[in-house]
Order: sequence, then C-alpha cells, then structure tokens
Amino acid sequence: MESPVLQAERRGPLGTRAARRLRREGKVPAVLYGHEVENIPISIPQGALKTAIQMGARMVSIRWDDKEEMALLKETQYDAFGKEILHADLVRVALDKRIVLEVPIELRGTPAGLAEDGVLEQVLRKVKVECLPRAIPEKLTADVSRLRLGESITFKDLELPHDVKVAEEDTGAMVAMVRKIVEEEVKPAVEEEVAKEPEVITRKPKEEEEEEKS
Amino acid sequence: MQLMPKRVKFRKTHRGRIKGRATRGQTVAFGEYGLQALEPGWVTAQQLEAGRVAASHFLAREGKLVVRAFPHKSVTAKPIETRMGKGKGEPAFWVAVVKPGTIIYEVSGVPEDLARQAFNRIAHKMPVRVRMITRRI
Repeated sequence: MESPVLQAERRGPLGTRAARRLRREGKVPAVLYGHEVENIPISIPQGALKTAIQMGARMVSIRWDDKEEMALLKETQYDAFGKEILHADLVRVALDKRIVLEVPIELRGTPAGLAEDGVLEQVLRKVKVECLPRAIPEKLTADVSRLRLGESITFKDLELPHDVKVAEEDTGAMVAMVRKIVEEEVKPAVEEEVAKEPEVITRKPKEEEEEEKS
Repeated sequence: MQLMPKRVKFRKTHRGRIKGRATRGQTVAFGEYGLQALEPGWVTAQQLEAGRVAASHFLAREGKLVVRAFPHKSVTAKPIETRMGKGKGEPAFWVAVVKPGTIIYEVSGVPEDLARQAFNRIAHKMPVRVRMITRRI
C-alpha cells in the first residue's frame, strides 16, 4: 500500500493551551521522533490524518518546511467518544530495517463447529509482526472454516505474507470454538434476598460502638 | 438478580456531581460492538438488568453480551409520608455512574444488524442517550 503524504506544520508554542487552540482550528498536534534525531512537534490537518487512518495506512510521508520523512503511525489518541483525534505519535523508520508492530487478525470462513451448537470466540484480535516498513500487511487472515467444537487455532495457523514473521510468543488459543453457555432462567428474587445489603468492611463490632457512645 | 457490590466500605454515599467525560472504559474491549453513553447520568441496577434481559432474549443465545457498567454507588431514600430530619434515609437502590463516552454494554459473535437491534432494545431501557459504536482496530 502506498503511503499517503501528510502536509504538516512545525508547531510554535507547546503545551495544553496551544494544543487546544490547534484542535479548535481543525489540526492535530503530533510529534515526530526516533533515530536519535531531534524530536519535532508538528501539527497535521485532522481530516487528512483521519482519511489516512481509514484507508488503513500505517506508514505516512510527512512533509514540512521543504522536508519529507517517512514515519510509522505508532499511536493515536482519541477523545471520549472515539471521534476526534487528540494526538498522534509518529516514529521515523529506516526503509531497509525491519520493524515490529501490531496488525489486526481477520477470520475467514464459517466454522464447522457452529452447526454443533458452538460459539466462535476470538481471544486475540491483534498480533505483533516483524516486517519491512514497505511490506506492512493491512491484516492477517486465519481460516476458521475447519474449526470444530472444542478446537482452537494459534498464531501458527495465520496466513503470513512473504517476509513477514510473528514477533510474539505463542501463548495458546487465538480463536476457539466453545460450547454455548445456556443461561439459566433466574427465578424472581425472594424479598429477603432483595433486602440483602453488602457487607460493610469498616463497621465496628457492636460492643465497641456502645463503648464509644457511653 | 440485580447487581450490587459484595462488600463496601460505607453503606451510604454522597450524591456527588458528574463532571467531564469518561477517561476510562470508553473503548470497546471485549466485543465487536459497544453501546456508548452520550450524556452523564445514573444507570440503576434494575435498568442494567432490564437491558441485559432484553438483549439476551432478543439474541436468543446467539453471540455474547457483556455488561461493562457496575452499580457501585448506593442511593438512599426516606420512606413515604415521613417528616424531614431524623437523619439520612436507608439505601434504596444501587447505581452505576455513567459519564459521556462510557461503554455500558458490548456484544460479540453476531452480525452488525442483529447487534444494532439488540442495542436498540437496550436503549429503550436506559436513562441516558446512547449510541452504538464499532471496535476500533
């Protein structure tokens, strides 16, 4: 995937108030760092950054003051509603050096265990991979069509593109086909149970209370 | 069975004031879809349970429903036709304090349209405005 070009501006004043001012103007405060070169606080137009993220871009080309650098979109912070981007972390990368980053896992196919009254449970949704910056996979797929009840698949079952390695220890099931949990009908609570109160851990024993009163 | 804490430090709490937006519990963590609060408020244990029952009946054992909010706060009330004074009332019910952005429920293992319909049923039981969101990868 081609890296989108983001037109950035070098940030002047730093700090909370300046960052808020930028956000009001429709810009996202960001920082470009890494490779033992100076950290550069920059601002990127919110719309352009959002589009790049929606396209699934991981590598972006940052252009500012007649300079251009390739950077990895390492982290983005969102507001409480998950709509507006508050800040972005961009790391410089060398195009010939392998990097480690998280890639989402996508499941393919309808599991055979669904017919056996099972539920597909995806335990892990992301996996750390090692690859070259130019060959970052958008997602990794795993075929779950053969998954029967009680079976699971691990990282080993991921379909990896050429020159991409999993950089995480295999800790167990990534996707599992488990039995449906049948919820028992809860009988209406008896009045006594409703009236039940939680245990108060700071409550003093009655004798102490009486002593204090006297 | 309605939710309430097993152990508490104090039986009665101050009413408090809900300020700001959620800074925790505002991302979909366990499922693929979440129901997010858009305004501050108290969701009672009864409302949480009503929402859970409505959604799980609708989903009919399909998928998985997670209740992300928990009623940690007790609310007291005085008996009716009681004169004012004579101390604070007794705990009457338990509530979860919800800030804008808080994820109240999550659903996984069902298609988007089913999740939307389940959340619509829950939304009718909620005392705050809510919306459905999808997990961000």
